[in-house]
Amino acid sequence: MRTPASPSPDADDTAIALRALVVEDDAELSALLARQLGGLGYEVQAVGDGRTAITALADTRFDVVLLDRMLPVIDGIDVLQRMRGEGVETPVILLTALGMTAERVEGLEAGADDYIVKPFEIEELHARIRAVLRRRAAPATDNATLTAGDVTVSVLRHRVTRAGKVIPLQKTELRLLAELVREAGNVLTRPMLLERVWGYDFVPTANVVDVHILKLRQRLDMPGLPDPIVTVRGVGYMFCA
Amino acid sequence: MRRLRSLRGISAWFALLLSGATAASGVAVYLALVSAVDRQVDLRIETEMRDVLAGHPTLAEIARRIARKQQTRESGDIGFLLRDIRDRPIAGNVVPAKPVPIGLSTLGAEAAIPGLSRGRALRTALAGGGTLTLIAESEPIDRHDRKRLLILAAGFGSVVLIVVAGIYALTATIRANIRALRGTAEAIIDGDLRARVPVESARGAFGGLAATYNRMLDRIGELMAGMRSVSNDVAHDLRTPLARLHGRLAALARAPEAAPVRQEIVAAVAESEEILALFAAMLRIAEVEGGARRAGFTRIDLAELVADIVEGLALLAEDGGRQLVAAPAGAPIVIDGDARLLTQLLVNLVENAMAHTPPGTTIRVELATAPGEALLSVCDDGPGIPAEARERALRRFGRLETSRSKPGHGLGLPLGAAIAQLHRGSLVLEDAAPGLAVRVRLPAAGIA
Repeated sequence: MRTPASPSPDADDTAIALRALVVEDDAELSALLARQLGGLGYEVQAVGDGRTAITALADTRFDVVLLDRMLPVIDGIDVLQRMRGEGVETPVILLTALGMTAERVEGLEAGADDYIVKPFEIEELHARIRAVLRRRAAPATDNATLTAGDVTVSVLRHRVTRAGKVIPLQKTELRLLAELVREAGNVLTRPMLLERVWGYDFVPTANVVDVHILKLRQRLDMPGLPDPIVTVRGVGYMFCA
Repeated sequence: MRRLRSLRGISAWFALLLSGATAASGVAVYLALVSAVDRQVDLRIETEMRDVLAGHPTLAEIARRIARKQQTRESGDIGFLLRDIRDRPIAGNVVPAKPVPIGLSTLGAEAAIPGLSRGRALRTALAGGGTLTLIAESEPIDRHDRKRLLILAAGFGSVVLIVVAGIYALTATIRANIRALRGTAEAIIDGDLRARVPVESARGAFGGLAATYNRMLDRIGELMAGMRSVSNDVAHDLRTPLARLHGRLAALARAPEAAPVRQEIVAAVAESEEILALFAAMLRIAEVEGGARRAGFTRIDLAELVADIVEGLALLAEDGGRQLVAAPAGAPIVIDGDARLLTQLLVNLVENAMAHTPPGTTIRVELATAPGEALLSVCDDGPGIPAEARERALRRFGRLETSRSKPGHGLGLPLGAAIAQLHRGSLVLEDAAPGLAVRVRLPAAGIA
């Protein structure tokens, strides 16, 4: 397992709390978000408009900025562009009410690290923040072979082994396992998996993720060995080596 | 007359008719000139003939008169030929290579008379035997006339040329203006609402048309912007409190003191999720219909995309007791499109088939090509949709009574149709006998 770079995205296992700036004009949503993030161990500062956000960013160092797309006075995208223009490289996750792809492309091009559509579960946001920080700390390498515990996935050669034994998998099953193994020890939510494995930027009616996880568990099942995939209730799945 | 519908057809026909009419009038003028000259020459040789034969002269007297005539200026250019009773030439200055018939006739080059290319001849039988033939040149155009004719032809030719060039210039101008209007209209259709017709000068018919057209587009743009900001505001203002409601319910469901009513709260969370999914689908349709996503089109191998999607959903279908199969396309099928939207289109169609068929159903995804297009079909052998209800199934919120109890928001097929239209394709429902066939046509790469 790789050692996470400082600051640790895993707020649970570190003494240093992550500092988050919430930029959201809806006072109630902002308060809810601050409370929920506080509950997860974040140190939160909340501001209601773009101008205050820019001032706050100049004064304090944050680990992550949660930026509403639609803000009064200065728009979220403008705040982002000004930030990046001034060389502030703090990771930014855009919050949007609309979820249009054009917005997402625009946001990512302006320098956002990720994008989340309201409403979202706090766990979904938490998982995404951690994923963004991980990506910043150790950019994804195009490793052909991924290993976690007794499982090895070779994406290019389409080969999976557990405890030295080859396990035949379908294409999608292999891609799903590769994502879980790559992010071993971290929770991946259903929308994150749908995006990364299936290429969906929408949530289908039927739960295609759960069906594949079930199949993957059956395939990886070996007498005497524990189930390496952990279900995190109401959030997603995690590979435990 | 069907060709006259195009600008090119009209100008081609016009140029053809103009040249035809010009040539025809030239020919008519020439023919009229020839017959006028013939009549005049005929009159002249008839007068000379009467003069020579006046008072029943003997052959010798005729020969003498001919000799005299040949020396006078008025009749010096006339050819004479006197033949005796045995048809031997006895006087005169011309002998046509071919015998000339009695009466008036036309002579050509075949008569082989030096200096004569066209002439008229009058041969009269003499009372005492023998014949007298008079020949005069009837060429309507002499050497000077030939030059004049050339000048005339050049004049006519240049008129035709000027007119044809004029037609061409006019056609080109009209075509350029139509092209500008069309280009702008197509850009608007593709979602670039800021596109305007280039106006070189506000004066003139085309400038005025372009300016009016642009004013109309400005007006439409204002209305669209107004509508979009209203729907964005509605979406924002409705989704934000919904998001709060959802967040609170979800938090409440986790609270330990909620245990006795947890089931109800979880159901309420599910309800709010359904409303939010409906919003997401509505906004997605609005975005697709806005057309802005055409800007992000890339070249896609539909065969690979479809195989990938089917592979990713096969397990889900199997889990529900259905079979999802795809016939491999074999070769790449390349189109220009938005991969994410096409993914959503196919996922929606497959999900739709899974939601409305009983377990045991086979869902087939087929991909074929036709000239200039790709054909994607999702067919099932389930209960299908009766012909009269198919149109309604494609309408927004047009869920059929039989499917009200099923999961989903009823926007899957309308969203699919909007995505097909964004790609300048179409989506239709057909009878798969038994079952439903959803057929999607998408233009091949470089076509739309």
